[in-house]
Amino acid sequence: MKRWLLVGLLAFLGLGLAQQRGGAITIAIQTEPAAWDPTQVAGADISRVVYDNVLQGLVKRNPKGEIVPSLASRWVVSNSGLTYTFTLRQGVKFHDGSDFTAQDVLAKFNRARNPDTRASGHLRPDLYRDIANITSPNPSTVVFSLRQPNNDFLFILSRPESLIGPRQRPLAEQRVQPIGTGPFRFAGWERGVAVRLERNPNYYVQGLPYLDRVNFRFLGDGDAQLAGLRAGDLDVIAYSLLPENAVVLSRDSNFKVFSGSATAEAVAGFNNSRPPFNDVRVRRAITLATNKDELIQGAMLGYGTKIGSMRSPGEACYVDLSNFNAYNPDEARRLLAEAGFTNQNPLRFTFNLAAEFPYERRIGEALVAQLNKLGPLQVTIQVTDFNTWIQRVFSQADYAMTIIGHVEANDIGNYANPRYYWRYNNPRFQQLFTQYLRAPNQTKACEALAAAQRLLAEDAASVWVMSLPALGAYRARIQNWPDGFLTPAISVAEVWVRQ
Amino acid sequence: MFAYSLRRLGFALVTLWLATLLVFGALLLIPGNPAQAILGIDATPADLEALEARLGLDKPPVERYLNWLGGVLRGDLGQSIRYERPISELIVARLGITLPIVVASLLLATFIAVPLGILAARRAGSPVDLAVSLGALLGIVLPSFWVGLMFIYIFIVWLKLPLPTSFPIGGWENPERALAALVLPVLTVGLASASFLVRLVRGSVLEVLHQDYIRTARAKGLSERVVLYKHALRNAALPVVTVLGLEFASLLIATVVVETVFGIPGLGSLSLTAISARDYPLVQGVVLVIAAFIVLMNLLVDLLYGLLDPRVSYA
Repeated sequence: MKRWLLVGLLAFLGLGLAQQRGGAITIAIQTEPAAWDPTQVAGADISRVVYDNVLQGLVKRNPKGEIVPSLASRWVVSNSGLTYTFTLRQGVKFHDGSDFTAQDVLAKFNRARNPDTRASGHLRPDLYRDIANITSPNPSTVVFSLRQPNNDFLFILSRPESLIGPRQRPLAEQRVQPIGTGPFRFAGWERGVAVRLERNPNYYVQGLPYLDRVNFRFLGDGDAQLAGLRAGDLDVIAYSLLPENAVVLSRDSNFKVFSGSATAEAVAGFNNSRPPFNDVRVRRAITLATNKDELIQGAMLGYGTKIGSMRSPGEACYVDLSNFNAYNPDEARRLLAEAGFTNQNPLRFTFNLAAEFPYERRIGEALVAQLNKLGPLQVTIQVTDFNTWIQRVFSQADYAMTIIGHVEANDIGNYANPRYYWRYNNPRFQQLFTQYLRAPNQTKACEALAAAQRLLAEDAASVWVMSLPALGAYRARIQNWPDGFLTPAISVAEVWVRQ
Repeated sequence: MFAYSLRRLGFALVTLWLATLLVFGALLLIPGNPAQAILGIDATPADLEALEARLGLDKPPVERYLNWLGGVLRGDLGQSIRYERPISELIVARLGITLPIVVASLLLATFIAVPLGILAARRAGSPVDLAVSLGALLGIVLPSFWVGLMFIYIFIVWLKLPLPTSFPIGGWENPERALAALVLPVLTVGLASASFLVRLVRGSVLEVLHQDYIRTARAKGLSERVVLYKHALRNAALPVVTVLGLEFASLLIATVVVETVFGIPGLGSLSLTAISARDYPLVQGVVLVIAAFIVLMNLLVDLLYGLLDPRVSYA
């Protein structure tokens, strides 16, 4: 009874706020990717534009981070956890007019799991390693058989790498003009300026999308973004609004500022394999010398959430460890002294920063200032461009300490990879992560993941400074903007404009 | 004159060849590679190798350099790695935006700086001179990204002039809007350039006014107007023309900052993208084009010298 009342009330309110069709909006994003097919090229800004707007997969992550149906209307997982049976949506067409069929799904995942990336042009065959085979018993069903249970399998299918295009589409063309089944078709890419999306008139969800056109404009400079928004050339700054600009805009009724929960963690990583950071006392000392509250207030003006391990509050199985290894400079000095570093004989090292990322850069600079205040630490900052950072820090692990935002959801598994740039090698953690992946049910999986988060915190494998917000702003006439950002997308299917 | 021109041309070609060597060598030295920029941070070494092979980056540097140089000699700058487009096409499109900015800015700078500089020189030491010098100093020390942002706030946000803050999507398809988008960038670059130029004009006019031949001209009883315009300015113009020529070339690069602030897809922002993506062929192409402009401007300045000063001979 209550439920019906609620539905009636919502319908009534809906009449007053009828969605209007039509209009165009321009959204600022920070960087221009090299191409637009996330199966061939990595980069967060690719999926921000195309994920669920242009290209779709069997399942997707909604703004709350839940895995929901997309091209598959439903699915069944066998008790063994080894068979996933998907029922495909019927009557779906790609933007080029061809039908979406089970054959497209088979072609896509057979290409994805081909270990020969040179032949497949697909980025991450490792993600699909657990697939034993894929079959289609009838045109509306696709069955995945796994070699071993994998609790992340649906999550993997919701990743940008799992988006599905027409099987005949040449890869070189899909790179520059992706064709999918989404609410918008990719209308054009003006290099250096913007990407244009236009409404897909044949979209299978009745009435969607509301907008006729959406432009994603590449504007790297935060102040130029603000000027464009204020002057009316931009309608939305999607995620990279600077905190001080957020404060200014929030006082103006023409704009709405939003700070969505996101999946990005600012991780100040150590090279765990090298002295002095192979010593847990040193890693803990540096965590204890980090005043996270002050960093959130000082560098981010309060926009950010304190965390204590490699997970953000919005994600499943989150354990709040934000007060584990809480700020304690005396204990930090004691531990450093134990490890042999004092004011007379300080620990000297270089902290690497990538110049392109405003949040990470300002947090990193403030963090280094805090560490240097302690006494037994003498940290120097080295700023390089991102490409140099990738080569030196990320690929060769030729560094002591650094900071970067890890945008991807559910990425704690990177600590299970001893070759990852943190060079964290703990068999106990690897065991816990495997336990999580192979767990027979969600409860067991979460238990393993909780233990894994705790172990990382005890080990002080990195300093998890904060969960970064998706900080943005839009003009007040934009309606239904998704304020949650626990998805790889800036999803605009249900956004509309009040005329 | 002919022999001189030929020698100058040869000199220009050697300069360009040295520029190709320099940019190729510099790119070998900086860390990072385009394959990593494309594949992202999760790429495995095998993926990287495969892409490097596809891009031809696995070949020895000498072979890559000769291939590139061979292409350039045939008029082919190659493909951009990042944009997967012919480089010449990208550069021509970007020059179509940056060249108008540079030319208009230099015209604006000349129109402001020459009269103001002459005025300041004629009344050296007066309050007018002081005001001009202070204004010029201000224009030089204020960073252009800040000036550009202030212009956006003053002219667009406060005064609500119908100017876009960034180059329109669709570009020159909508010429009115595109031109409107260039007003503030031209003002920003033009004023900065004028500040620099006005001191030069003032200085060289002042120097000429102290020369013996001016004193002679005045002693002959010529009017101050004739002295200034027939005798002084012609000589004062020499250093100004030299600097204008070089300024033209350096503005091609200086627009990077202004193009960032105003979201303009010009040559400056193209070179920035090319470098940060380690798009080697694109960086080489852009540098070559800019070097060609510099060499060409130098050549023009040299030839103009002869017109302005008959004493310069082409022996």
